[in-house]
Amino acid sequence: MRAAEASSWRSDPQLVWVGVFGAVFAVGLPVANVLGFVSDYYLNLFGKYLALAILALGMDLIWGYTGILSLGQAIFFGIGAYSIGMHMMLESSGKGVYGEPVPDFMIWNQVYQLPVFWKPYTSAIFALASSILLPALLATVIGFLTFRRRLRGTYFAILTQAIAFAVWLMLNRNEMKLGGTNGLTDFKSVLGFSLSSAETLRALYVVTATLLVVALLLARAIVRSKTGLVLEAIRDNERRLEFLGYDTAGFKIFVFAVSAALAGLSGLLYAPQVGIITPSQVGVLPSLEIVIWVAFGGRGTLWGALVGAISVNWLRSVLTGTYPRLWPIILGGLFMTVILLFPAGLIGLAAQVKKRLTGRRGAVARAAVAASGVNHHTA
Amino acid sequence: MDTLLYVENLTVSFDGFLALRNLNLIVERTERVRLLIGPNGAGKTTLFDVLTGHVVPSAGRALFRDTVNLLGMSPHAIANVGVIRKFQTPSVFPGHTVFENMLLCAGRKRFVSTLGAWRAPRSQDAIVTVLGQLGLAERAGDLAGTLSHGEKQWLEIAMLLVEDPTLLLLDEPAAGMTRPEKERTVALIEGIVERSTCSVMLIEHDMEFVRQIARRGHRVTVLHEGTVLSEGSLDLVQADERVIEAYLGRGKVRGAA
Repeated sequence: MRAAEASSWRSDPQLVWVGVFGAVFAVGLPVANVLGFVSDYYLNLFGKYLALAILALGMDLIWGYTGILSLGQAIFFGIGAYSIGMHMMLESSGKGVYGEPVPDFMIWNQVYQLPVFWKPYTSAIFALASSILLPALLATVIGFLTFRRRLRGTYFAILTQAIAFAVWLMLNRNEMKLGGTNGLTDFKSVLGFSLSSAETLRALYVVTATLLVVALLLARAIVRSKTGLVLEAIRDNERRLEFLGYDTAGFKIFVFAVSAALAGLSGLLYAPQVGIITPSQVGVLPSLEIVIWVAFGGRGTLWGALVGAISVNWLRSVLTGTYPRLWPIILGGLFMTVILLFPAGLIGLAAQVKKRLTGRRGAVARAAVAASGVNHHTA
Repeated sequence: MDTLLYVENLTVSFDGFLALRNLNLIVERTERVRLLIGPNGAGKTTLFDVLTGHVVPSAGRALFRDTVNLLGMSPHAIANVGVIRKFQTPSVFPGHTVFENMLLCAGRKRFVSTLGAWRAPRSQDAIVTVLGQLGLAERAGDLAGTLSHGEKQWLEIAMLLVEDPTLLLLDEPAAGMTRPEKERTVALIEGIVERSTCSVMLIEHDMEFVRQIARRGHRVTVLHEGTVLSEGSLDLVQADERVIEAYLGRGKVRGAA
């Protein structure tokens, strides 16, 4: 038995790649930054990409693995970003232009008393918890109301899209006391550390990269468990699964909540590094964009989500500098290309190339694991 | 009462068309195999649909083991009381290995118990045993989608067996099979009946297949236009004038049923 366990660890070559990924991004890049090989600007840029990669991981769990198209992921991202944003605004309150105990934008809207729902956000613990747990809670409620009633497929996508649109409309209004169209910005410090210092940004980067690795390990644990098998089966044939005795609603609510928590974490890490969060990052379009990242990288593989989020966002940084008007067209073209030419994404393309080169079947490795498991017991 | 399945006055209406009309059927707990035959549109599959919670009848009762009211239960709850169904076309998960397909069906189905379980479980003896019984042990690592049609049908039966059912509903398990595959399926079903404690209800069109199964003296129920036309041993129902008429229309050649 012990031998079987040991071999199952050894037969997991991907774990090595997680280690390599962690070593390069969580250790290598910041060290290179300290030594002067990588500029502060690029480190910060990568911090943003890695934060968004966590968002893509969540989307991949619910869409790539479970086949549920959620177009509300940007809402959860927004909750995470706004939660920490509110805390950062309050951290620097009193230090603004007007010296009032409320954020400056409230003064412009003639609000001199801190609104009640802002008050708990003076607590850092509350803000951090609200970034991650509030999205999970909201997803659980939405999931409970929809999946229990067997609302599926396109209807779920439309419903989440409608919610995203409603949230976007609300956030744009000044009456919401969340900064309206300008959103929250002009953050001075996070958890007491000044955001104008390179050290703070470097630390934020390291935290982001580390949490991405943790999120990746968590997602892998889910995907490789029997729950992961059930999630894939929901994607492939949900009706059949019900006739085999599975109450699929519970599984779907769980994966929706996890994906929402990851989106919230992503927003939590994104806002302090980028320095602004506006309603334009919370609506329908950003939700759709996450779908494109995952599709481009390769849905249904965790590496695909990472590769897609990082590469598309890097491409955006490069191209919006030179051809800002062309970016939406390029993004759309990218999506069309993926769907028409290589539906399995970059990861699928890489696997195909590897297969051509070595002549090995992609499923061999996975099949070997299952087969070796059987042999242990028949032997 | 000591019945495995008690169906009373079951009526199913699809927009006015009666797929089942006042159907009555009793399967005793001692019965191991019950064959359901009947011409196309007789309501055989609809009866399975009702029993597994797929279709809601407009009237009637369906009791499992005297006390469990199957009507109104959701499909997953029905599966969990031990009524498991095989569909007409093989419904396996083609993108997963044979072993993973089996794993999905073995063990507890509640969310919490799957979260802690890995894909390579500690106790897979039941899976290995059943795969061996159905001659699929060698294919455990292959994707289910690469199996032949016959092997997929057997895999689905194997999946249902590790669910440890009380009543196994098989909808045309030999459909689309070659003659040797059919003979093997007969042997498999007889093996299941000998080894396990579950009862099998079986729909089949192929009379040769029915004859082979029924030669052990199992009861045959003939459905026609949504109701039971005749019931008894195969010889008995084959000699029934009404059955001959239902199959051949306006009673022509005798004995061809």
